[in-house]
Amino acid sequence: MACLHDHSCEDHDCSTDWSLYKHIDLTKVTALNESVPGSVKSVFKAWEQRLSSSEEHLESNEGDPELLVYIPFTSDVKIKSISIVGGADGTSPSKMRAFINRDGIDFSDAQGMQAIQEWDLAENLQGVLEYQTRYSKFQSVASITLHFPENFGGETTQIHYIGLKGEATQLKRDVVATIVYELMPNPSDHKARSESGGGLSHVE
Amino acid sequence: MVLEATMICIDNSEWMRNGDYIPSRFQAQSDAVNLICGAKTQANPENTVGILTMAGKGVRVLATPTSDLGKILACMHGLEMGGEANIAAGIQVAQLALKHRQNKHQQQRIIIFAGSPVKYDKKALETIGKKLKKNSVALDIVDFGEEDDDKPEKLEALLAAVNANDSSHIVHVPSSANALSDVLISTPVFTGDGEGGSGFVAAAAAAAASGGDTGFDFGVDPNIDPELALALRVSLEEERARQEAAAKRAAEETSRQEKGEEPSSNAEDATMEEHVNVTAPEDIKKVTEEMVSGSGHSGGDVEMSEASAEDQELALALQMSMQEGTSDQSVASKVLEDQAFVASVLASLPGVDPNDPSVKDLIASLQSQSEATTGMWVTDECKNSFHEMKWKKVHRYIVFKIDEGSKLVTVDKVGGPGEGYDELAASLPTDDCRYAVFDFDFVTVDNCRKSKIFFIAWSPTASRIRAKMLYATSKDGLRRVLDGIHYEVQATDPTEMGFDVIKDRAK
Repeated sequence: MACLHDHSCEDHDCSTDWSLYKHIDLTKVTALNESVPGSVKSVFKAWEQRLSSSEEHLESNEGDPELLVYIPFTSDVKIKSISIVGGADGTSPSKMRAFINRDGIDFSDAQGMQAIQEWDLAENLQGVLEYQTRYSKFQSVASITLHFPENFGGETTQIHYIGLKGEATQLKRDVVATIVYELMPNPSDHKARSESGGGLSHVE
Repeated sequence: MVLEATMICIDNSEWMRNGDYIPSRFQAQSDAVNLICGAKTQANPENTVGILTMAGKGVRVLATPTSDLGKILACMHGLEMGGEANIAAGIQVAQLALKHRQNKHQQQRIIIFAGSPVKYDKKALETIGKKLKKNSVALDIVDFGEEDDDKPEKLEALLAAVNANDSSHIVHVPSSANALSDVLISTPVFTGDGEGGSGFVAAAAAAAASGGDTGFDFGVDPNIDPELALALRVSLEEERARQEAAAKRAAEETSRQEKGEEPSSNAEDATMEEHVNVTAPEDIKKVTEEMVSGSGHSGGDVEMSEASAEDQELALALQMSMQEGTSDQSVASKVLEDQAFVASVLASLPGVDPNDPSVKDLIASLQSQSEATTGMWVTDECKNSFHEMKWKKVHRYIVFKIDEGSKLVTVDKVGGPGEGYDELAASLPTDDCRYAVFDFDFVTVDNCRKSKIFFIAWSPTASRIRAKMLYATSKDGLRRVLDGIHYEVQATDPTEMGFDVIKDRAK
C-alpha cells in the first residue's frame, strides 16, 4: 500500500508499524467534549484507512475546541511516535499533551497537571507527519490520555485518525480488576442443585 | 443497567416549609429522594448515590457517593430548613464530588430538586450546563415548589445546555393531590432513560400502596408470575386490536362503496407470490402498497372486487401495523404475530381463503421479519415436556418443530429415558430445521455423576432458506422459555452435533 512518506516503502511496511491500534481496548476508549458520544472509537483504524474521512470522525462540541481522549490498552505497550490526522479549515488540533497511566482525567485535571510530553502539531491532512515521543518515558504504557487544548481557529476540532507506532509487550500493568462482592444476593446467579439437572442421575 | 454515580442536590431552603405538596414540600422531597436512592441502587448494585444540601448555611455534602442505602437514608434525618438555595454552587460541588468517585467507570449524574426561585440568570445557568456537558455529566432537574414566571424557562435553558444525547431530563411537577414521588416514578428520572427501572418501579409502587397503576397494568408482578402477566397483557391487546379491526372494517366498507374499484385477483396473487421472500419491513410496505394499487388494474369481475377490497383492507391493516412496528412494538404488530388471531380475521373476510398458499406465505414472511422474539408462541406442551425432562427425568430428549402455518413451537418427538443420543440424531430430518434438547448424563473425572441439558439448533444446509430464517429468529424466544439449559450447540450437519462434541462440551 503506497504511503506518502518520501522514502521508498520496500524496506518496511508502514501498515505493520502503525499497528498498535490492535492493542487498544476499544470498549473502554472514552473522550470528553465529543459531540457524538462514542465517535471517538472510529479514529483508531489501520494505517491504510487513515484518510478515509467518509465515515465517522471525532468532533468536539460547537464553539469549544478542547478534546480529551482516553486510550487504554489491552497490554502494556511502548509508544515510539504518534500521528494525528485532523480536519480541514482550521479544525485540526494545534497542540497535543499526553498523560500516561492515569485514568479519570477530566479537563480541570488536564489543564492543571504537568503533561509527560507536549507537542505543537501542524495541519496534517495527508497523515504523513509523525510526532516522536521521548521513548524512555513511554516504556510501559497501560493507558494514554491525549489532551488537545487548541486548534487552528476553527469552531470545532475534528480528528479523523490517531495512529500509534510502537511495540506491544505481553505484560499487563494491574492484574487485579475491580472486584465486586455481592451486596445482595441475586437469585438468578445461584441456581439450586436441583435446577441444574440434579446432582445424581442414572449413568448411561 | 447503566453503571452510574449520582449526586442528589436537595433544596432545604425556607421555601420548603410550604404545605402545597402533601405533607409538606420538604417531606415530599425527602420521600422522592429515598425512592430515587432505592431505584438507583437496585438498578445496578454497583451504582452509588450521594446527597448534598444546597441551602442552610451553605452547600454541604451529607453523603459522598456510596452504594450503602442505609447510610444515605440515615443522613436524610434531622435536616434543618433555612436560608436560600444556591443552585450554581450546589451543582459545582456535586460535580466535584462526582469527580472523586471511586469507580471511574461510572457515568456521572446529578439530580437537582429545584424548589425555590432561581436567582441566577439564564446565561450563568447555560455556562454551568455547558461545563457539565463538556465533562459528560448528565443532569436531571425536578422543577417543583415555587412557581416563578421564568423559572421553568431558566431550567429548560440549563437542560438544553447540558443535554447530550437525551441523557438529561427535566420534570415539572405542579402541586396537586398526587404525591411528588408518585409523579416522579413514571418519569425518566426514575426509569433512567427507559431501561432497568421497571422491576424496582413495580416493587416501589406496590410498597407505596397507592396508585398501583403506575408500575404495571394488571397488579401482577411480571417477575413473580411472568406467564400470567403475559397472558393478561396479550388478551388486553387482542381485545384492543379486535376493536380496532372492527372499526377499520366499518370505515373501509363505507369507503369501498364510494371507490367501487375492480381489481384482478390474479394480479394480486402474482404480486404476492413474487414478493413472498422479502425480508425488510420497507419491502413489505411496498408489497402492501402494490397490492392496494394493483387492485386498481382493470379486468376483474364483481366477485373479485369484493374479495380484493377486503384484501385492500387487510393490506391497509398490515401496512399500518408495519409502520407502527418499525417504530416500536405496537399492539397491532403483536396481534398480527398471533397467527390464530390473524387466521380468524382472515376467515371472517369473505372471499379470502386463509388456506391460500400465497396468503399464508405473506403472513409467514411478515412474521419472520418482525421482531419475532416477543411474538412467538411456545405451546404449553413444550414447556411441560421440558419441565418433565428437567425435573422428573422421564425424557432423554425432546425435538421441537415450528409449525410454519400457525407459527407455534410444538413438540415433534420425545425420547424415553432408555434411549440415547443416536436416537435423537436419527430423528432429526436432513432437509428441515428443528430444535432439540438433550439430557446428557455423565461421570466427571472426579467421579461425580452429573447431568447437563444441551440445546441443539439443527439447521442443515439442505433445508429451505425460509425454514432456516424462521428457526434462527425464533430460537431466542424458545430459549428464554426453556430455562435451565446449560449448553447450546448449533449444527448444520451431523458432524457438528456428534456425540464427541457433546462429551467435549460437557467437560
